[in-house]
Amino acid sequence: MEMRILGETGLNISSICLGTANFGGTGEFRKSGEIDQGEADAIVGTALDSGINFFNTAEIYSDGRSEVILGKSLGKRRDEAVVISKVHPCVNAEKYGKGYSRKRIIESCEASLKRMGIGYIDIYQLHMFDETTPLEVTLGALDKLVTDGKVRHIGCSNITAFQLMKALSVSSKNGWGKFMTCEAMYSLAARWVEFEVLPACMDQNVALLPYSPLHGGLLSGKYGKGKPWPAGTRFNDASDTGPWSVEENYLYKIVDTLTLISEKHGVTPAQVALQYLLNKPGVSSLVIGVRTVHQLNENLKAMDFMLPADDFEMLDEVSRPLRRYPYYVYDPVQ
Amino acid sequence: MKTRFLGRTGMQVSELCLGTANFGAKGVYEASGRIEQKEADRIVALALDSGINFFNTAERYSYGIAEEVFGKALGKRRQEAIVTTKVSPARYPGPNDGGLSRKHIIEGCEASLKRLGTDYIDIYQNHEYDPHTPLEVSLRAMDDLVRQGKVRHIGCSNFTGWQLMKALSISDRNGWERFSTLEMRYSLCSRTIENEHIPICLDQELALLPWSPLHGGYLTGKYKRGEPIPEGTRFSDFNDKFMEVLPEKLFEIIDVLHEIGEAHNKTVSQVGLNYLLQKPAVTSLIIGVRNLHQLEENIHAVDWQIPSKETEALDRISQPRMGYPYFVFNPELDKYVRV
Repeated sequence: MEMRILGETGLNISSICLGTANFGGTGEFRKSGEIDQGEADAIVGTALDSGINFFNTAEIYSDGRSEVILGKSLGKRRDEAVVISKVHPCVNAEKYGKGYSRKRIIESCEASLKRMGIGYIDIYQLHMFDETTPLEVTLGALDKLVTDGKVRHIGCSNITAFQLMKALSVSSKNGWGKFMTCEAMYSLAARWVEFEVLPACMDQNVALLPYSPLHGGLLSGKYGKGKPWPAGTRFNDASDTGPWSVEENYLYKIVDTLTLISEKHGVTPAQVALQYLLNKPGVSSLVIGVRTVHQLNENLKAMDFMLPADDFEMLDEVSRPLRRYPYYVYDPVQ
Repeated sequence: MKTRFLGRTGMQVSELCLGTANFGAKGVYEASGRIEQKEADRIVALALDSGINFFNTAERYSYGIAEEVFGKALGKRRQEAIVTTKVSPARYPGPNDGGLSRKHIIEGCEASLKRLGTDYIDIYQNHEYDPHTPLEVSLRAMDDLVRQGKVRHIGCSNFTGWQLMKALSISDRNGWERFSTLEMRYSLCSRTIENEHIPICLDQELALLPWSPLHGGYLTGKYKRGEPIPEGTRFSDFNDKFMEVLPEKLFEIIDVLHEIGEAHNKTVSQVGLNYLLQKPAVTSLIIGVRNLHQLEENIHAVDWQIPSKETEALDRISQPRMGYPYFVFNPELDKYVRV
């Protein structure tokens, strides 16, 4: 397993981070699978044995069940793992209203610790930005968690570049722990972060953790031009892809290229797609969700495969998003 | 002409700002028509007489000629005007003739003052971000110009969102003058800046100054579906690499502009300009004109107000797909334009 340094934390993490949004799989999270405790134990055990030491959960995943299951699966191996959990501005609204009050941040963290049965969270992230609470309050509360030892570092997710840069400057002005990670949707079929969020992260040494690196499964090789929409996946049909909605011709152009390259090297399209992302500047570790130990093993094989530079270029070219103003490549020296 | 407060400067500027990119135009700037000194004199005088007190130039426009022509045209009426000029990061012809180095910012400002024939610039803007000079160096030099009295306020143009937010934090941390204005391309055909830049302007109280509010002339009504493009316009086709026009989308927008214009006895341009003036953070629209007639037409774009119900139709027809992470914060809007 390839290991990388996580931003400015000094932590050594695997280039694959196991996502657990489908652990417990209730409510809207059921779509990506329903992993029960037994299956989760097998997946987490295999992950740790294969060198994956990076795990990602959130209080909102199945109303806390994902945290409970992950905590049990890690069990005595907690210290081998770097664990991310996330606080969400909308859960328990009857108690906290909407936003990131000091009350919510402190109590949510304590509840997450309890559910996971652990004494500290390695990276505690804001699940999405929320503008209803002043950043000074939110970041001050997060820093208190760090000082109290409940949290080692803080991070963010689903944030614009403006919000990220503003938050970093507020932390810096107050001498508080800054966001070390930024979890964002990033894949061959969703490269919007390259315009603002990724350059900001690179400039500020914030580790970018792509989520949905296979674009919700659309880049797995199961979907292709003229292929019937497969059963047992997250989506019923092309109109059901929600935030992963993508123009079909664009998607199939990418999938065709992935298939071509994968056949050339005797690997799967998913493995090529993951390697592509691991070769992008600024990317730290890919958050992947799996339904079975078998899928995990398939993804692990992506780690042994090196994507040749010309194949990387080909993928980069077919998936290149339109560079609109003000994102022209501008170099005043030329 | 109505005026608005310009960001946090305490100054009031007219809702229209006269752009001067075609004053004495040479080279690339000639495409929008060359304005000779005499014509410039008349245009600037009519602007001032009509209540336009806001003017925009740059050292790069025809390598200083625009500043000279504009300075002469303004002449003794300098005090009536709020003058913006811009320092360029493009290094031409020599390696340090341009760039946001301390050297060029100071020397560029002094050269602009000389060409304009004035001893202060109201708003001195960075024309683009310069990846080769740390922001700390550029912003310190800009602040020194403010303290020396050569410049009253500073601003920037064509920055990305994160660059702008970074610059504002650096100025604040050091107690330096911070950017008060942001000059960006913004029109019904180009709404990308709604993702990052407009939230920043609103949060940080910057005045947004749209350039190319008629998208280089594409939104003037001169371009008609299925008809040949008229002579003497800036673009002879729809393939301009910087203006990024999708002809079908353009004509859909023009159809709505035309419809609204008919109902209010206004032209396509007048509706397009008025629409933009109602958008959040927008303070003053930078307009370029070829002649007095165009200036008069633009002046009448701001003597009425488009009903808010009709701006909704324009909002919807011109809404671009938002992309991640922006749809997270506007799921309803995104659903509307999702493919």
